[in-house]
This record gives sequence, structure tokens and C-alpha cells, in this order.
Amino acid sequence: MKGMVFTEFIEMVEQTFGVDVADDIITKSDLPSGGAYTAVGSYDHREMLSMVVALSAQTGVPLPDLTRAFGRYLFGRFSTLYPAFFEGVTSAFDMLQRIDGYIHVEVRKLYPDAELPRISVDLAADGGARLTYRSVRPFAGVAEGLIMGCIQHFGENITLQRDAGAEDGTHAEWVLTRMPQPA
Amino acid sequence: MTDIDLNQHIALLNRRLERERKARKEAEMLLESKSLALYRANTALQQLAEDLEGRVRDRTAELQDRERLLDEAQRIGQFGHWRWESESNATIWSDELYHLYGYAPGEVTPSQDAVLTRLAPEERDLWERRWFEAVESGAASYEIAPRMILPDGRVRHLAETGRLIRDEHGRLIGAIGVVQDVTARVEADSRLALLADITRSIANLVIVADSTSAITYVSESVRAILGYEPEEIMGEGWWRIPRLTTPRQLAEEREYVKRAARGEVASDPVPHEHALRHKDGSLRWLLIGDAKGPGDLVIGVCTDITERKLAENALRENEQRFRNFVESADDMIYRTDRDGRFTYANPVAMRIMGFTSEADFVGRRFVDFIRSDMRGAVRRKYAEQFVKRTQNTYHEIPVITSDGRELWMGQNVQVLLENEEVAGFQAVVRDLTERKAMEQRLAEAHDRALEASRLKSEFLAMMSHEIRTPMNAVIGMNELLLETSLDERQCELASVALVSAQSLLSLINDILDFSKIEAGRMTMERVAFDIASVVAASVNIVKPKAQEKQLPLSVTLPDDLPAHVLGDPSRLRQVLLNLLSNAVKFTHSGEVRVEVAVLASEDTRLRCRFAVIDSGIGLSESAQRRLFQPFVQADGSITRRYGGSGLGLAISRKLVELMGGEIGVESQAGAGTRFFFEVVFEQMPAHLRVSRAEAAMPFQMAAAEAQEEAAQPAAAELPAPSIAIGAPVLLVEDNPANQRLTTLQLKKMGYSVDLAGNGIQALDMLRKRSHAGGAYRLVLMDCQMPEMDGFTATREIRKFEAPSGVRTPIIAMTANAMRGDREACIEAGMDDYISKPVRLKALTEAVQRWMTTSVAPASAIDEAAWRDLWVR
Repeated sequence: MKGMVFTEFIEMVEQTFGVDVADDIITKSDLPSGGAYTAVGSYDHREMLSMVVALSAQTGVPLPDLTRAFGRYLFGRFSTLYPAFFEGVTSAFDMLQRIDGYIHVEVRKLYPDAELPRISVDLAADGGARLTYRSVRPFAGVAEGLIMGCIQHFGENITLQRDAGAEDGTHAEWVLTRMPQPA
Repeated sequence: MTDIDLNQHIALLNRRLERERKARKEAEMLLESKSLALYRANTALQQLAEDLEGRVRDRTAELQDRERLLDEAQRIGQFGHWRWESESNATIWSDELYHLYGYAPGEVTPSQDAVLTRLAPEERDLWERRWFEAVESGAASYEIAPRMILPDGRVRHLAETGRLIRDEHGRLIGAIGVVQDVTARVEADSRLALLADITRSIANLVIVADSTSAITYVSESVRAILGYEPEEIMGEGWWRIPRLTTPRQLAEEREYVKRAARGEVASDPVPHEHALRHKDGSLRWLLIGDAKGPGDLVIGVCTDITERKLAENALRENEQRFRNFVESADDMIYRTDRDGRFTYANPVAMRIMGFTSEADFVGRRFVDFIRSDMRGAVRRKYAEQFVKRTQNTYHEIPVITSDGRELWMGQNVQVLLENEEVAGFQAVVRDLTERKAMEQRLAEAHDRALEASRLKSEFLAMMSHEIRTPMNAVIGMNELLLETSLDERQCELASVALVSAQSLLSLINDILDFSKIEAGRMTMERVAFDIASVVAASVNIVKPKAQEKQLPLSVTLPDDLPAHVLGDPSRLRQVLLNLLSNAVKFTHSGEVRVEVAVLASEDTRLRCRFAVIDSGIGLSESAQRRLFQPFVQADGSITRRYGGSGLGLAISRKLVELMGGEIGVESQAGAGTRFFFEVVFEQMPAHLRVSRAEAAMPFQMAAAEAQEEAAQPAAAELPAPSIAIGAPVLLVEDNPANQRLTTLQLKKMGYSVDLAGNGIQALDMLRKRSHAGGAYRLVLMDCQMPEMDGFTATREIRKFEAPSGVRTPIIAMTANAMRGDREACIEAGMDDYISKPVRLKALTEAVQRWMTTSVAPASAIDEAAWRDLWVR
């Protein structure tokens, strides 16, 4: 898993729960990397799982809420860190469709060994869409947070309904419904 | 914060710092390795870019080279190419293609229109169609040979091959094509084809021989000219054709061909004649000329001049023949130029004209030799022939030859025309001197003969008149003598004298008739008459003789015999009388019959047969054959026994023939004879036609009358004078014997007779009597008299009578038994006609006819009336 996700996670924990909570979960999780993450490196995704589980235990916040919250935080960071990817993009669906077709392609150029999830978007006739997530890693929750962050970023009134998926979080599908714009 | 807390916090920050440091170092390491990799990649990339640049440069240069080469090749090979891309619809032409299409490179944007503009109009459709067909059929390529008309009017033939390029789905994505200028080839091909056609079609025979004199080509006309197939001629075949050439000449000829093929001798511009045999054996004349061909070849052109040769030979033969003919002709033949000056004269001309050499006549003119008195006339005639271009004239001309002889020449002159211009004259001249002399003699002889003939005619006419006149007197006097009282001896002598005189007259009449027939001067009359009356009258004449011999005479007439026909009654009577006389003469016992039959009654013609049948001595076959020839009798003894001129049957035959019929005889010696003749009469016009049955006087009456008449004795024949007793009659007659005879006859009939010796006296007496208030009841007029003849006298009398309206009957008495007398009499104004010598009976009838018309026989009235109507 890309180092950036770890560094952003630690950053979020430090900002939200404090430096000691971050140090605590790192220590408690007994991580192979010792919690020393750099954005340009790659780390075992299980370290992330360990830290998230430790955080949930430490804070008492349910695990799905944590991962979803991290996803929303992460999308906000992306928009800050990589504004190039947002140029000319005007809607949430537009962005979501670009993940597989463009963003992941560009990522692979820098990190040929990166294992990236597959995100496919099927637009529906009624203006909505069905979004499918498949990955070797169980981060459907993070993905859901990312989607929500995306919708939030573009300020659109779209509801997200989890429709199907795997227990372990490697596969999930959502129905995105465009709601009437408030007057 | 407590110390513990502080320590714990410091420991926490240390851990965090440691983690940050560790992360930084890892990041540095990672970045370093990344940048190294990047540097390497960049270096490799740079290397690659450099390599690529060099290759592109090389390839570009190579491509430019190739393009230049291609352009050059296209220029040399006169072919261009084009390329078309479907997606951009762009077409590219090579420079040479522009040239081929007649454009300067880049002058136009390559397009279909730019090509179509140049295409010959009739090619445009095909050009477009061929492209679309290839596109639609999925073909990989197509070919077309369009013809372009360049702006300067030149024609350019192109050959184009197009290849169509398709993607994996078969969609057309482009095409390329190569276009080549094949004008030279097409023109050469067409020239070759034309040449082949010409060689095939010309009548001339073309042969090509190589330097071994073997034939390598022969045109197909060899078949027509020499009868061989071309393959038979190839190689040595030509030299094996039989010909009128000696082996040595042939060898020389072959040698010449070999050298000509090698170009060692200049070809002879004058063609030579060769006589070769056609395959069928006939001789063919060829005029062969040769020309150096390409390589070691010589071309021979042979013209078939056989016909010309034959014509030339024929002409030469003709000329020779003509020359021989002219040179050996019996006639003089010469030619002149247009001025009439001699250019040629054959040997006969030389001889006739007295020339000794050409110098004697060349430059001189024929007219100069013409006898001077005729020269002008002849010259005018030939001038006329010259102007009118009369093809042929004939004149007989007197000529004085150069040695002074006068000759008559019959000259046929033809105008010689050259291009419609008179080039001269050609004459065939015959020496007529002999003929002229003979003609002269002949003309004189002819004149003499004519004179003799005229004298003879005059003599005959005179004799006729001169003999008949005394005969008239002899017979008449004898008749009168017999009516005086004579003793038996005197009566017998007078009778013999009368019979002899009558025989003599008959003989003379026969001879006269016969000579008239022989002279072709006997013509037939055409008057209306009654056949039955003629038959009856004829029978009546011989009846006395028959009665003497106690021979019954019978007549059979058909019912359908018309009352009248048109013809010559006196000639019919003559023939009948001749046959009846013979029948009575040669029959001693038994009977004589006359049978008349109508053979054919047509609208305009009536064919009758008359038969006279006797039971007399008959005729032998040989006698029958000779019978109708003149001066022949059945046998010589007959003349002695029965008398006669022997002309009767010959005359009869001629008369029958003149009447359109023929005469015949059937007989056996001793068993009687049947003479018969058929004659043709003209029918009366339909509205005047009546049958005898309808006629006023049926034959029975005529026959009965004849019977009655015949039964009377001779003296009783004279009818009693009726109302005419003492009636004045003027007799005009110059001959004293006849004056006396006729006066006696008339007085016997009871008339008072005045006598005039010629026409003038007659006219005088008529006038005197008229002035005295009287008139003659009748005039008897002799025709031939001195001072004024009967015709003139009659005309004068009629002139004199004209104002008073009186018309005295005038009866002609003429010894002129010649044809035409009757017409002459009628024309002169006379009313009737009796022939001399005047028989009492004929005179009585004629006089009574005009004195007492009321008692005249019906037939006589008819005859006179018809005669006026019908005599032409």
C-alpha cells in the first residue's frame, strides 16, 4: 500500500485524536515498519488494518465509521495535494470515472509495482450510477468514504446506497442516486 | 505537566522523531534509487533519441534519393503514378504523370476532373465506369487504356494499371496507379496493322527474300495471282514455279536476289517482266521491282500485268492484221491530217494515184487531184463533214491521177476524232472507173429497153385497136350478111367466115389477156353483181353448142347464195365460159353440169366453189399436170381436132388466182372431167345484203328467162323495138367500116342515125340540133378519134349541156380493152360502155337500157347503180 495513505492516516489521527493517540496505536500495533512511513514508500496494508483496529479500540469509535471518515479525509487531501487531477473535472461522476481510466494509469507510471483497486462506474439512464469496487485489500469502507468525499467536494446532492459486497471488504457496490437540487 | 508526564511526552516526541528520521532516510534512499533509475532511463532515452534522429535523417535522404530515382525512371520510361487516400480523399500525382496528362507539374490539383478534361470525350464514361466497377466488385486491380487529347491537339495513348488498397474489413482505404505513355507503341501497332492490311488487300504480290534467296515472306495475293498457298512459296518454293526463263537466267536472277539482299547491288529502279506459270498451267506476266529491305532482306513487289500483256499482244496482232489487210486491200486506203494532207497511203493508193514514192503524196491533198470542175463541190462537202463531224460520208468523185488518167472514185471518208477534236480523215476509196463505164452502158441499155418496151406497149395497143377494128367490121358484116337472103352455099360460106372471124377474135383476146396478166397489168374490178346471173349468162352462151350436141346443161345453185357480192363479174364469166366451152367441146355424149357451192360466208368475205362437170373424153394424169400451163393442150392432137389457143386454162388459172382462189381438175381419161375453182368475193355492206331468196328476181326466174332466151332461134334474139322508133341517135366514129356496121345495126333497131367522124363534128352537130330545139336521145361515142377524141368530146358535151340541165346518155364504144378504160369513160361523163367489136346483141342491150329504162332488166339497173356507188 502506498506510503502516502499511511502518512495521511497518521496525520489524520494526530489531528483528530492527538499525537499521543497516534503514538499509542503505533506502539500497540507492533508494526514491522515501526510506524516510520514516507509518502514515496510502500507498506504492507495489514499495518493499516492493525492501526485502524487499534484506533477503534482506543477511541471506541466503530471500525466502519473510522474507515469511512478516513476515506472522506483522504479525498480532501487528494484535492489539496494533486490539483492537476481536478482540472476540467466538473462533477462527481466525472471524477469517479477518471479514477480507473486516468488517475490509476498515471499512478502506475510512477509506481509500476503499485497494486491499485478497480473502480468502475456504470451511468444509469435516470442520471444515477452504479459504482463497483474490487481490490485485493479489504478497504471498501475507505472507498465509500472517498466516494462521499468526492460528492461532498463537488457539492452535489447525491445519495449513496451500499448495495452488495463481500464481507471482507474487498468487493462492494453502491447505487448513487441524484437527488433533486434544493431550491 | 508532571515530570513523569513530561518524560513520557519527551519519550513520545523522541519516538516520533525517530520515526520521522527513519521515514526521511527511507524516503531519501528511495528517491535516490528512483533518481538514479531516472537518470539511467534518461541517458538511454537520449541515446535513443540521437539514434532515431540519425536514422530519420538517413532514411529521409534515402527516400529523397529513391524519389529522385523514381522521378527520373518515370521520365525515362514515360510513366507516372498516382496515389489516393480514402480518408483524406487526397490524390498525389508524380511529376511525370502531370506531363502525361498534359499539365506542368503542380499546374492543377490532382483530381478526376483534371483527368476527364484531358480524356477523349468518348473515353470518359469508360474511364469512370472501370474505376467504379473495380471498387464495387472488390477487385484488387484494374487496367484501362485511355486516349487523351492534349491541349495542342496531339493524341496520347496511355496504359493505366490501378491497384486498390483495402483494410482487413475489405473497406477501400486507398489506391495507387501506374500510367504509361504507349502512344508510340499504339501508333506503331496501328501502322503495322495498316501495313499488314495493305499487304493483304493490294492486288500486288509482295515477296521478301533473304541473302540466300530463300523467301521469308509472301503476301496472300499469291493465291489469287499464281494459285499457290503462301506456304508453298516460302523458302525455295518460289524458285520452283515453272516459268519462261532459262535455267541460266534463273540462276542469274537468284544471284541478283542474294546480292540485293546483302545490299551489294543497288536495286534496279526499272521493274522487269517475268512470265510465270499459274498453278493451273496458264501463263502469268508479272512486273517485278525490288527494294532493299531491313537487314539482309530484299523486298520484291510483283504486279500482275497478264491482262495488259494479252491486250498488248492482241493489239499487236490486230495491228498486224489490220496492216496486212490495209496493205493487201484491193481498195485504196489513205489517211490525212485535219487539213486533208496525206499522212499515209497504202500500196493500192500509190498504184491507183500513180505515186511512185511517199514524197509524191505526203503533204499534198486529195482534193488537189479532183477534177477541177468538181473540186469546189467536193471541198464544200468535206468542209461540212469537218464541221458537223459526220462519221461517215460517201461520194463518187472524178480524179485526175498524177500521171494524168481520169478515174472515178467511190470514196468513204471517216472523220478521225481525238479527244473530241477532228484529227484527220481516213478514206477507203474504190476505183469506180470500170463500174462507171458499165453504169453508163447499162443506163443506155436501160433507156433503150425502156424505149423498146414503150414501143411494144404502143404497138400492142395499136395492134389491139387495129386488129379489132377490122375484125369488128368483118364479124358485123358477116352477121348482117347472114340476115340477108342467101342461098344455102352462100349461107354456109358466110357462116364459116363468121365463125373463123369469131375464133380469130377470141384468139386475139386470149393473147391480149395473157400478155396483160404476164405483165402484171391485169387488175380486178370491184363492182356489185349477181353470181347467179353471171352463171346463167355463161350457160346461155354455150347452150346453143350443147343443144347442137344434144347435151343437157344443168345448173345447181345453193340457197344461201347472196343476191349480190362485190367482185369482177366479167372475169368470173370469162373463167366459167372457158370451162363450159371446154366441157361442151370435149363432151360428145352424157351431160354438162355447173355446181356452185358456198364454202364460207364470213362477215366481209364469201368463198365460193364453182365446178363444171362433164362426161367427156377426160384427161390423163400427165395431161392434168400440164393443163394450166400456157400454150399447152392435153395433147397436141387436140389442137388439130378441137382448135383453141391453148391459153384458156392458163388465163383462167391466173384470173382465179387474182380473185384470191385456185383452180383444179379431177379427171380420168375417158371418164369425164370435173374442173373446179374457188374464189373469194367481198360481201356487200350489211345494210345492202339480201339473199337470193329475198331478192326481187329469184334465180328460178333468171334461169327460166335464160332458158327461154336460149330456146329462141338466133333471129328471135333481137328484141322488138319499142318506144324508140325513129329516135335520133348520134354515132361518133372515125373508122368508115365501123361507121357503116354500127349505122346498119342501129337502123336495123329502128333508130335514125346521124354520123360524126370525130369529136369536133359531134359537138357541132349536137349544138346545131340543140339550137334547132331538138336533142339526140343517145350518143354512141368512139373513144379514139383524130381531131378530138371521145373523152374530150364527152367533157365538152357535158359542159355545153350543163346550163340547160339536159343530160344526153352517152355510150362509149372502145376497142381499148385495157384496164382503166371504163373509169376513164365514166370520169369523162359517159354513162355506159360497150367493147368493140360491137356485137349486135351487146349494142341492142346497151341502147335499150338507155332508151327505155322502164323495160331494162333489173340486174342491169342494179349493176349500173352499184357501179356508181362502188367504183373507186
